[in-house]
Amino acid sequence: MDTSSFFVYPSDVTEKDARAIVFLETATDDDWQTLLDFTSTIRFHSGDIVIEQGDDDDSLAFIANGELEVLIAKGRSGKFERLTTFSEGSVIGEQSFLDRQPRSTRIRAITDGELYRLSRDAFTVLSARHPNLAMQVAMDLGRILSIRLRDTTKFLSASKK
Amino acid sequence: MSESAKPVFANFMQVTPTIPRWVWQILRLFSILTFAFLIWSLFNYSAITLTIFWGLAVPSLPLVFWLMPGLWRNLCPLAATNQLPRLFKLTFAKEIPPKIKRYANVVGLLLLFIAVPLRKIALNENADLLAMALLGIIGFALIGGILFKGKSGWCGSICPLLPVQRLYGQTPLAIVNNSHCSPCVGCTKNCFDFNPQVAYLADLYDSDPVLAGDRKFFAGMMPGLLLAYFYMPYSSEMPVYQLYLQFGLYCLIGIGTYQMIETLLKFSPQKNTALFALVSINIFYWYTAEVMAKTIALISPLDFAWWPVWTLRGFVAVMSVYWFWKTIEKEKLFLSQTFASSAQTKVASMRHLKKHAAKQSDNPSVILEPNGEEMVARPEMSLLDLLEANGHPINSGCRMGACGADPVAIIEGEERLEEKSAEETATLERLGYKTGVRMACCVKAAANIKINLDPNSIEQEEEEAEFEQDNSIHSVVIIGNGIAGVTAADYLRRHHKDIEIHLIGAEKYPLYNRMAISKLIYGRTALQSLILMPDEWYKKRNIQQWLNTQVENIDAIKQIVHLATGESINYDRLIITTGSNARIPAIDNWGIGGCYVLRTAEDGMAIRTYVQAHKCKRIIIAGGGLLGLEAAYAFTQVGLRVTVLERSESLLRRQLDSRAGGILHTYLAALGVTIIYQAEVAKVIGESHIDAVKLKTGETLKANLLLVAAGIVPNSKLIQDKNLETNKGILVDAHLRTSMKHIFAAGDIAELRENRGKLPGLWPVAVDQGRVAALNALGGDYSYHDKPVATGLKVVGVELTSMGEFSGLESDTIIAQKAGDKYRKLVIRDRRVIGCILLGYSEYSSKVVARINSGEELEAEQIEVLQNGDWQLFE
Ligand SMILES: Cc1cc2nc3c(=O)[nH]c(=O)nc-3n(C[C@H](O)[C@H](O)[C@H](O)COP(=O)(O)OP(=O)(O)OC[C@H]3O[C@@H](n4cnc5c(N)ncnc54)[C@H](O)[C@@H]3O)c2cc1C
Ligand code: SF4
Ligand code: FES
Repeated sequence: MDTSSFFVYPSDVTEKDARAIVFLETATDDDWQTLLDFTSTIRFHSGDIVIEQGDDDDSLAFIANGELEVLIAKGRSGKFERLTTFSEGSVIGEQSFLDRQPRSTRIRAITDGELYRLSRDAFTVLSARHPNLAMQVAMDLGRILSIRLRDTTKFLSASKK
Repeated sequence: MSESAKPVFANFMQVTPTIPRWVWQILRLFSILTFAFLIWSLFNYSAITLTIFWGLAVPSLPLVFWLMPGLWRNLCPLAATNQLPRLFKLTFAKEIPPKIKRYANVVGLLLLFIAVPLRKIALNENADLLAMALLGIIGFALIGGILFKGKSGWCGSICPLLPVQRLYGQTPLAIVNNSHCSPCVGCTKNCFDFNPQVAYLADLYDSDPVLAGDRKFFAGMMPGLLLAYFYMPYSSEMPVYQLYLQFGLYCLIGIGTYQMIETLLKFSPQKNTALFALVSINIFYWYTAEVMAKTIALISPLDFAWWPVWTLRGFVAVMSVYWFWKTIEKEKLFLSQTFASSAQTKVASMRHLKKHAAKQSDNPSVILEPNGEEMVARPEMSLLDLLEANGHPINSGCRMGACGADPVAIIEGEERLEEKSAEETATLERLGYKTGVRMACCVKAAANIKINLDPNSIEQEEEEAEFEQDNSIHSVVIIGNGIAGVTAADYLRRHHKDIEIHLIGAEKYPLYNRMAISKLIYGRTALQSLILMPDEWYKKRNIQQWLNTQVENIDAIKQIVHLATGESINYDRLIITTGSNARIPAIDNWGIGGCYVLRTAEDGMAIRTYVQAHKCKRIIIAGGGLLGLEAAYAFTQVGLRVTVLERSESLLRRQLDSRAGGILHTYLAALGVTIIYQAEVAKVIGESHIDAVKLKTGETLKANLLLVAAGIVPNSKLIQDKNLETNKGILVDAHLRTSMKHIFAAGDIAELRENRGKLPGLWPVAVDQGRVAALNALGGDYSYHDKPVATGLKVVGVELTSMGEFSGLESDTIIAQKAGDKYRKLVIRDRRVIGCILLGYSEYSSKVVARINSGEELEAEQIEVLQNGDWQLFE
């Protein structure tokens, strides 16, 4: 398993991005424009809670700029601590988008910024208007989840050893 | 930039040190001096030095490793020496060759394995040898520091105590910040000095299994090594090789036990290594507690006693259980973080996002209080669309200001918004809002505004209108608590402070949003959120509500209504607003399980229950009108296969022409709705539950549920009354008075004499009529005339406004333009717009509707401009 997130040495900051899974790599400029036209824009401010743990919210979001942190309630005190951070270019929320389950973590803005939300309803409309693009989006989210699943499976079989 | 949260497992650079670095430097200087003193006294005062070194100093080290490993990491004289070259910039700072790196742990482990038995043979007694060994080691540490970068030349690699420190120190009770590495140069993988809380876990879970192997092997051998040292009988006659063999055997037993537990009990590596650490530390202090007590007795005036020994043993035992639990606990969080940060999803290039940002940088924004979320508006979107797109919990029904589902408080910028339509004003009045509140569906955020989803966050002044009231009227009864009835009740009270108002409803619930009941099918909305007015609303207005109560009949002569409960109520005025029922065409075998209509909330919930209980897959909807299509959409939302049967040749015959119908068809088909035209159900096939339907053409279609949406019929029950003149509904004049002087009718049940045979069956009509009937019942003189009403289709992605005469005559000017999947059409007669179809052009909707309502004439050139495709007039 990749545990490098705990050891981000100042000498190798570049490594972090290299590990990202790329979303819609083959989409054209037009595709992107269409897709983004189906999103709605939120300007967040540092300190805002952008996604709340337990909320029913089934949208996917693209971070256009700014930085956010993923928080988790730790221990009995329930104090929120940071699991990881997201920055511009990140795609977040794909799990709830796909399974419509409540959000599993809290995401809070560290800086001001902007993000684009694609709600499930908007996706429904997208899929009726631009079936090919919607198909691409769905397949790609599926691929991303599958990569995650593989990682987990690999991890599970490794941890048994 | 706001204060961001502390990371779950903060590394040393993310924590502000409590003790400044220079203090540590001074302390380290002392540490090196102490080391020098130790060497000196080993040579000069060997006996006492050996006693203290082995009897007190060394035995206390594991406690430090265990509870506060950072303290030792900072103060260790070997580390201090190893770091001297780095401090004075005299190091080559070379990268350790990967081969050596890979075996560093093995080297450290071997050194330890050599050193421990060596104590028995020589080091315990031979001070000179011990001094030389220590000197040798510190020499190595120094050379390591000169050659290699960071701490990789000794402390982070081959130091023989490192494996012990990492095993015991994996869950420090107190974290002491690394004060050596400034800055960190990233010399060691999963570095213990960088992030002490997770370094051990990271090794165990590393994708390189070698690291976990090292940890597991060492944890396994540790109890054996300790037992071999403390428990195994030893005499100086024993040959050296045999001693090492014995030690080796003990270690192997430990390693074997480790394997056994892992295999038989399936302990995870994390649990198993922690267990072995727990056992090791207890073994160690079981023996050394006594050694330490004895040493103290030897060098001080104190006598040896057992209680301190047992205290220390007890402390270690209890502490180690707590430590074990903490270590195990930690794993969950560790995994959460690992999964959260493993391979994030990113877009390939920021170009598209940046472009999109630039496109809307000037768009107005809507700030949602109390939390201050800032949404960027788009010109064509209503506030309702915007809130929905951003996942906010807001109800909706008509989406045109009539139902009252979505009031929001406008905290700032109300004056910058478009004016209210008559419909919206009426709705707001009914809800009791005067200023600062708007219906979200009617507001286009064309300017920056600040809103709150709670309309009551804006205080409303109490209304104290002055009017004459007719005191000969004491009691008004309203039959039916739909929107017509409730609006009537509201206006009655506004214009009469004292009359008794009885509002009698057959349903179990107070007025709810009938237009939104299809949402009950897919369960995103509960009935609770459809209720339009809270109980207090009725209480405050002193309206007597009778829920779940049927009116059996009316005695129009004696002016009494008889309830099904046996009670009766006298009235001075009666307003009938009993609404309509679903029309059910003649269908054979109708009524078995799975046959439904959708008219009441109860229907909606029953359908949902049936779908779940019978695991329905195929739904057939008879009727391609507004209600049928809305229901079809609702079913697709729960993943069902929906077929709509439409009697005619195109969809929404009462709202669309065939071109618009075609566009809508394409869209719905893409959503997965099958539409069959010229199809009517003849028969339901099935015993107790529906299996299929048979069409009039003879074709059969499989179905688990049949929903009939074939229009409405006025509620027939009270129409039978011989005193009331009726046709399809109850006939009323323009004052909404029935054939009986004191009885009025409004809403779906009312049929205007001047418009005989027409039953619009629309909410805004019911609102208007409820008001007019109430005012006239109190002696007013208001009239209601048929007028066009805008309708839309409440399906996500369909932006439709259809109004008035959308077909037109040959003599009319008709402007009809289609662009892709959008369509706009105006019917102009005598220069007045009398009808429209706007499909996908919501930006024009409010102005076109206002224009039709006002009847204002267009100028000839305006018509020309519109014909040329420039519709700015309506933006
Ligand atoms: C699913 C659906 C979607 C709709 N969408 C739209 C839309 O988008 N736009 C639009 O304009 N219109 C729409 N309508 C129509 C709109 O809801 C009706 O026109 C409106 O509700 C009529 O109001 P009303 O008060 O006249 O009658 P109703 O709302 O029908 O209320 C009548 C009430 O009287 C009660 N009652 C009847 N008989 C008795 C009795 N003997 N004793 C006591 N109580 C009795 C009934 O139980 C009922 O509660 C929709 C309707 C449905 C079902
Ligand atoms: S990795 Fe960083 S913190 Fe760890 S020893 Fe090397 S320099 Fe120090
Ligand atoms: S009033 Fe806005 S949705 Fe009905």
